[in-house]
Amino acid sequence: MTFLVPLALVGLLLAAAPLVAHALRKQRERPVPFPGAKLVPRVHATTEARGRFEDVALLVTRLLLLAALVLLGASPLVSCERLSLARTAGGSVALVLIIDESASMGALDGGRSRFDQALDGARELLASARAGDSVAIVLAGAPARVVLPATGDVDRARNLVARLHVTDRATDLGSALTLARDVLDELPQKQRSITLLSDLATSETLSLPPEVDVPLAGLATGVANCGVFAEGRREATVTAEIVCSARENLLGRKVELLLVNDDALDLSASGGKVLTSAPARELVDLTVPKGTSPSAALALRLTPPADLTRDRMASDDVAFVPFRGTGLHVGLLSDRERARVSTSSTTITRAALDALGGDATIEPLTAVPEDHGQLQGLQVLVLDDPTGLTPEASRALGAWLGRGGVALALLGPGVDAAPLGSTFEPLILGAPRWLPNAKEIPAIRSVPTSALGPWSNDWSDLSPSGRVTIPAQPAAEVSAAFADGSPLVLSRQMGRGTVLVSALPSSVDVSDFALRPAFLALLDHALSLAGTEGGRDANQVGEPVRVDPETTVTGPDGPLEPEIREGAPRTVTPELRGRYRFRSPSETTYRALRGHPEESTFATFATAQSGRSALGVSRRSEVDVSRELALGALVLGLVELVLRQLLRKKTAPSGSDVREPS
Amino acid sequence: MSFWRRERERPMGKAASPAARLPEVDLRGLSLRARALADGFHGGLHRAHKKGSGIEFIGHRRYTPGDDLRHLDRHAWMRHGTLLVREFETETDRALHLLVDATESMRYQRLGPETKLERAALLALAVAHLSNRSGDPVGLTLLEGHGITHLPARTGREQAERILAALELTLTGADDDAADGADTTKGSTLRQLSEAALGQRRGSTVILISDYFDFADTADAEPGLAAEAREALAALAAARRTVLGLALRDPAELDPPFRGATRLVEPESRLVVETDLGTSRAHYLAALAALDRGLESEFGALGGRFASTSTNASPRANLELVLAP
Repeated sequence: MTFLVPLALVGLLLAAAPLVAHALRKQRERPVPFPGAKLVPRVHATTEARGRFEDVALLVTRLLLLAALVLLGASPLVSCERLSLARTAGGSVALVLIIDESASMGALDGGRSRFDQALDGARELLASARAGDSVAIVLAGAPARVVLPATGDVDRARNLVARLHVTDRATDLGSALTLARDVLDELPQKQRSITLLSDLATSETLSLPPEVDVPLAGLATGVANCGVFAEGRREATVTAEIVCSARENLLGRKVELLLVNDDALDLSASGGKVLTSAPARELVDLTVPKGTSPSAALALRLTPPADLTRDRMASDDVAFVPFRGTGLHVGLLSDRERARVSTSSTTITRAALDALGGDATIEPLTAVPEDHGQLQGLQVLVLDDPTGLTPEASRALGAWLGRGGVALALLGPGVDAAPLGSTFEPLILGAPRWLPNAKEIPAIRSVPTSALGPWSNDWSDLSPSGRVTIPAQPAAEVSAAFADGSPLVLSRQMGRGTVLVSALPSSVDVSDFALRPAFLALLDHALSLAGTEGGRDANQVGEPVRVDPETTVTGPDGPLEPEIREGAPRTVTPELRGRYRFRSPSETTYRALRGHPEESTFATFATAQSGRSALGVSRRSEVDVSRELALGALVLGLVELVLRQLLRKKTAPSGSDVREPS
Repeated sequence: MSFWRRERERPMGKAASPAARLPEVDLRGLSLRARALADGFHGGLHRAHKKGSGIEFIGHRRYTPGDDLRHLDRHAWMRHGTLLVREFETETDRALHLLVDATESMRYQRLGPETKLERAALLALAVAHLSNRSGDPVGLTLLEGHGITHLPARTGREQAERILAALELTLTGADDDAADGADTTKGSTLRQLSEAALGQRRGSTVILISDYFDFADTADAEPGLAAEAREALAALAAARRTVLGLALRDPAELDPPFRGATRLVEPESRLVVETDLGTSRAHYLAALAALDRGLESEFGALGGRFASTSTNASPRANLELVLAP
């Protein structure tokens, strides 16, 4: 223990004062022999022996109290193994804590999770913060975000740290560092620190700059682990992907296909019936037994290893199977004859979708789906020159759009071929008309501020041979329009979904509308809308899911609080892998959220450079224990008070209070 | 009887060098002072030195012409051919027994010229001399808390010497080694008093010199004489004995000089009392007066007499209280 004011320790000499006072008191109060003592009315009657015992306890308490007060005046500092801010010249500091709450931080390390160790480090650092310091907290789980902007209220930071929990998110250190630098740039303090509390298990190849402190670099070690991820169900087959930090961690293990309760959100609580199993490999196809309902809730479970140290993270050993699996499913209704180029056997729209790449699955449709089952599992519906919708199709499409589907209707001459009783609602309200006269088609102007942005300029020199006139649509956003105001491309919200409509088909016989890069942008926009609008049966953890105000979302960890931002859709962001229930007044649906396989391998591609930052974080620090000492002094003061009261009570006068020596 | 054995265990004259023990007790002139005190008392004990028919047969003596032939012992003449007459003790020929409280409280001295024990020893020795002069047997019992020293009543100058030696031994504390571990509390003192009463002659006169604090009973709301003390005094006064009580106290005990908050300790029981004599003096004096009244009443009821004095008064004045008719 060292002291800030060692001279104050001279006060310990005062500890002799009670001893001297005690001796003087005893001297002064030495008992006087008096044979007639028993005739004297007593104020205090006791024996010398009893008085000595009680005096000693009180004396020791007072001495300890005096010593505690003297030490307090000397400001004691205790050396201990804990993180603290290494200040230079005692000035205030700006600290940004990057806390990694990704899935890999849930691994057990020495009996405690890495995340708990990170939180301990955060608490220790915050404990060394003083008035005048600025603190901000960034979470490195994807997407990285600032959860506490820079503040001088350290207690607020502590309260926030207390509420943090590990998630199944991926790691996004690069973005977290960028955010941290942005936060620091705004702060006035000269001494600054970015402290990263992470196991550096990320798929990003990242070299951490020297100004970033990584005090818990010891966490960046490999962990024996395997995790199971569901690729999805296709017909009677469920594909399981198993990733491991080392192949030997998979030895002797099996993957089981389980039938779970329809309303199960968490496998650990609900259990499940094993339908089939297979030896665990990197990719395993499991056959769904005949008779299993197509809409049955299924899950995969990786059996534990014989040596439990071979799997340090249990949260990735179970996975719910999504209905259709990952990736977008795009339903495409397109006339192969009218909508293809002569040099290709595929339609232009299909070719454009293929050109966009990604993990979208294109499902050719022969007609507009007319029931919920046909639309279930589709996130995007592209209708190229449709000829109208039957009432059934209109209703199914309306419901599907309300649940978050994205529809792109490329209207063309087919609008005039709509059968009697058909309609184009809910795609557009009113009756569209095909105008075949090219000479009457005005020029096209773009709307750069629309969702397509400047891409819509790409159509400005189109020369279509005809166009569809679209009646005015309420609350529609026009991305491009003809000079007469009739929209070329518009979008309209319907419930959680979006309708995109163009007044030109993909057919090159009408125009090269679909051959322009802007058409790719339009398709890409439709696909990205589908990613956030929750139309998919499966999402990945950490991706926001759009919800409408009437829908409540419940996950393995309980209800999710929606995120409401001005001018932005209402969303929830699931943070744990598992099954989520979306309940609205009209229906209840379930969605399986998938984790991130790279978190289960604990592969580290981030390296921390040696060296200390200008501020630095020290593992061994001089910690001011004045607060603890003050508390101890307070307790001693209370004990002294109690002892004095007890002594007074025991020696209080009464008729039978005389204690005769035995 | 235990007190007989006790006397034999400590034969007279055995004492460590007084200089090695409690040198504060000045034994010089105790005998002289006592003798002078006794000499100053011309009246003596008013006990007739005569023998004749009386209550108790005490022995034979040779016949001298003029003796009452009724007392001639015919059996002794027929057996031994010797003329012997029987002697009887008369009412005026009774032993005197001195009971001196030699407990720790009697060694107290604060305002007086000497300790209470020294004064008691002086008075006891003076009475012994007076008794010897009268030809009356005199005995001594010292109540020392841890035990008693008992000298049976005898006549003769040697008895006075024995009494002197016993008193000197107690004053010097030479027998304190016997006190180690012994109970020196009130209960044992009064019990010793009861024991001492058993060794007293019928019809003897017993003079009890003490400070009588051990006789007090403070457990009651009104202090007075302890029940055990009454029993002990009653035992003392049994067998037609006359009991005279002399309460001997230091002037500080009659008027405590302490002021303010004081811690008083009773020498024998080590009882510590914290008090403020400024406010409690009246209560103490009332308790002391009540004790003396109780003693006076009890002694009177037993056919005896009680007086209270202090070491501040002259030894003669003390003695007059003892010997007052």
